[in-house]
This record gives sequence, structure tokens and C-alpha cells, in this order.
Amino acid sequence: MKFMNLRNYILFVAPALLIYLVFFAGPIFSGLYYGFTDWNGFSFKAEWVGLENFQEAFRDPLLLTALKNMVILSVVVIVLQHSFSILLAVLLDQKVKGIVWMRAVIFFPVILNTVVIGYVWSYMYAPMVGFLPRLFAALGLDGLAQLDPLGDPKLAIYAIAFVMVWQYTGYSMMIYLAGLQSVSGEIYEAASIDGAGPFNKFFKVTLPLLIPSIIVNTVLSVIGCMKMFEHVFIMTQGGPANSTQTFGIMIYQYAFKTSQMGYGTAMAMILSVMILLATFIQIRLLSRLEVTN
Amino acid sequence: MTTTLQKASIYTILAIALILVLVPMGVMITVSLQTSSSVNPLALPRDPQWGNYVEALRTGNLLPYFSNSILVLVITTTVAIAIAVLAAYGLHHGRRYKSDALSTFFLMGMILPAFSGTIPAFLVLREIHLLNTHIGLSLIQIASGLALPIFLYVNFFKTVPREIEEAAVVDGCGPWRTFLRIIFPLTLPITATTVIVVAINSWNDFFNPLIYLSSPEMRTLPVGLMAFKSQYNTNWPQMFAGATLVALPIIILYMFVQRFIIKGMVGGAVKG
Repeated sequence: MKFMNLRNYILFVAPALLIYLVFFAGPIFSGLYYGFTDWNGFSFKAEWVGLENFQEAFRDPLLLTALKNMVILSVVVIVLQHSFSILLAVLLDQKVKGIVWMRAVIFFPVILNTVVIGYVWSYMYAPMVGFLPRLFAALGLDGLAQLDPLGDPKLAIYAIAFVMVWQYTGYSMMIYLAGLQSVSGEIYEAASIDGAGPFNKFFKVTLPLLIPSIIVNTVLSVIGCMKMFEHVFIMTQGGPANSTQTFGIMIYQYAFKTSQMGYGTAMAMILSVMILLATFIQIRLLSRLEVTN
Repeated sequence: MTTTLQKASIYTILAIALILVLVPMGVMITVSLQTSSSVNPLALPRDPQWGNYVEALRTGNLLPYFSNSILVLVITTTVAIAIAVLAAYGLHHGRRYKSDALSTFFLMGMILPAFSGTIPAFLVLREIHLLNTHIGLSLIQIASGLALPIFLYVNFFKTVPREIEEAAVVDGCGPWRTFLRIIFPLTLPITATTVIVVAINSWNDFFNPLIYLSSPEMRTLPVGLMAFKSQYNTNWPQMFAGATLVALPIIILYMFVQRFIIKGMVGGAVKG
């Protein structure tokens, strides 16, 4: 459009750019500098310490736990959430009565407040008084009823992973549904004529056509697991015995509990680099698919 | 052709999924109506204790938190939508000023976690004396959530036929008049979706108020609810009454406009 001269362009973009720069992008970029300092956060003054923060970070046992938990969360979420959500998407892509509200109900936890979810699941898991222990006791499963999922360092991270699966299965399902809707019915008809049963149709037709959705969806989930903060903060605060530490919790603790702002910022940079890397891999995988198709 | 057996198994799986989603919600509401001395999640409350809700509102101080949340939501949503739609229009028409690079720069906000920049942002707010204020919190929410509305609007503008704007220009409209009179009214359906998504994200935001609001009377609802737990951590019925009250506005909104909500929440991922 002719009227969009440089002056008007700047006027249209400026308010958003200003707020974005000052309150989001600017702080992230300045973190690149502060990550190399001994900054304590009380002023903008900070002493340059070179790579010291990063060397310390890679010797930090908490970072190792956070990395391990990131892998556990990602694996549990990818395996459980994505098999459930693909299954549900395939079922809810058919002409079944009441699909609209069934989809809506399964999606609902996505928009529920994390504090509410954290409360509810703390109670679901609570030893003795909670829902699951009582249910297992009522069913005569005493072994399961004795468990204290959030209080046991070996189980806590899995208990949290399960809550994430519970909350976000509906989200992945919607993305898979969008992917399925782009598959034309003719392909299935052709497969039927060739004598393919429902299982063959799923593994030979549906799944291969869903690969782009699977890439987008799993990378989103992995990034979600990398950013993990709220669920852990509300349910376990990183405990018991630091067994549910994540990058988010660690950064929060270093920055706002022990005032190691420079060190916390270095941690945040390590995390940001990993997230950018995951996104880059997603873009590469998707573009390679487009080439081979 | 689907056989009866296939249909039966489809419904069985769907029923299990629905039960898994709904049971925790049901437990929350059931327990919220029981007395704290006789909590039993496996039984429906015989004598519903509605008083728990009154108690939760009073002892949890939820009403002031509720109005704080509303205030932050209104500021965040209004400003975010206004600046996002303007920026998107500029980006859409500004190709010759390398607007594509600027779009990518904005979209980075969708990928990077808010806490990459939290520590320096905390200092920025402190320097301009907006720490522990609702405006300061809103500014952070706006900046960290700007990518999605910009993305939704840019995609929308691609679908607007050029002829509409060309006609306006022939009639002597400048860019601002064209935008306000012709283009903005066209965006209303997508604006509805965007408003709902930005508002829900602001309403549910837990991390930012936790960091940037320090005094108890400034708290928004999620952080206020979190404080409730540490105060009364054995009184499950009262905690769940509070939690139900926090969830209620979202549940009601969802019943009416779930289509918009789902589209807005998933839209960024599907096209991106």
C-alpha cells in the first residue's frame, strides 16, 4: 500500500516495539551480559567474571537434577500424552454423537488455573486422606494405597508429569485433530478398496500423514517441559530433597532467595539456548519433510 | 462401515477419557461442600456446606484479590490488543522496511520463556518505580504475551482483499482513517478470539504476579489462592471452595465461548 510511508510505519509499530523492547526483549538481551557477572541484583553495577558462572553451573548438582527431570518429564509426556491424544483425536474425528462437547470437556483443563490444578492434584495424591489412596484402599489395593507420590523423591517427578499429561492431552488432541482434518477422505476410501482394516489404515495411512503434526506437537511439549515452573512450584516447590528441581525453580531460587542474580541469569541463558535449539530442530525437520514430499 | 462392536469400543474409550478429566473436578466440588472433620471424596456431601464458600471469601480475602485480578486483566487486554493490532497492520504493509525481520523478532516472544529475562526486568520495574504496582505487572504481561495477538492479526490481514483498502485510498483516506474506519471493524471476529485468549492468560498468570507484586494487598487471585494454602493447609473444604470460586468465571466463560477459546489457544501452534 502506498500510504504506508516510513513515518506511518514507525508510528504503527512503535508502541508495541517500545513495550516489547523495554519489558521483554531488552531484559533477555541484557541477561546475555549479566550472565557473565557477579551481579547481586541490588543495582545495575556488576563485576565481569567471564565464564565463571557457566563453569560453576555445569558443576552444580541441581543443574544435573534439573536436566534429568527435563528428560523424564519430556519422555513421560511424549509417550503418554501423545499416544492418548492421537487415539482421542482419531476417535473424535469420526461422526460420533456429541463430539463437540466431548472435545470441549477434554480440552477444558488446558485453561484451568495452575493453582487450582495444583491444589486438586495435591489432594488427589495426599497420603491417607487423599482421593487416590482412599480409592485404592476401598478397592483393596493396599500396596498402592500406601504410596505418597508427591512426598517420595523417587516418585514425585512422575506424579507431576502425570498431572501435566492430565492437563495438556486436550491441547495436543486439538492440534492432531487439525492435522487429521487436512487428510482427505478419498485416501481412506482408496485404502478401504484395497482391503485395509482399521489398524492398517491407522498405521499405514493416518500416522504417516500426521508426521508434521507430531513434530510440531512433540517439540511444543518438550519446550513446555523445559519451561516447567508453575506445577512444581505449587505442588512440591522443587522438593522433596530437591528431587523435582527444574530450570524454572532453580532460576527462581537463585535469583529471589539467595540473591545470586548473575548466576541465576547464566542459568536462564543456558535454558534459553536449549529452547532455541529445540525450535531450530523443529524448523529443520519440518522443512526437510516438505522437500521430500 | 463401523460395526456395533467398533462403536461400543469407541464410546468406552471416550467415556474413560471423560471420566479421567472430570473426576478431579468433581472431587474438588464435592469436598468443597463437606465439613473439614468429615472429608470423604468418595461420597457426595449429604448436607452441603455452602458456608465454606462464604468462609473462603472472608478468611482468604478473595474479594480484593478478585478486583485486583480484574483490574490487571482489563489494563493488559486493552493495551495489548490496541498495540498488537496497530503493529500487525504496520508489519503487514511495511514489507519494504524489512518488516519480516521485525515480525520474527516479535515472534521470538512465543518461544522464549518469560523467566529468561525476569531478573533484569525486575530491575527495570524497580528503576521506574513500577515494582509492586498493577500497571507494572500489566506491562510485563503485555510484553511477554504480545507475540500471539500480533501473529493472529498479521495472519488475518493477509486474508483482507487489497481492493477494500485501495478503494478507501481512492476516496482520500489516509492510513489512520483507513485503519480505523475500514480495517478495524473487519477484525472484530478475530479481535473477539484474541481478547478472550489474552484475558484468560492474564487471569491465569501465576508467575508474573508472584515475582513482581510483593505486598499482600496487591495480590491477584492465583497468588492469593496460593497463600491460602500455606495459611490453612489442613482445611481442604475451605481450600477447595476458594479454588472453585477461582475456577468458576473461567468455567462459565468456557461454556459460552469454548469455540473461540480453543481456536485462539491452538491457533498459534497449528499455523506456526
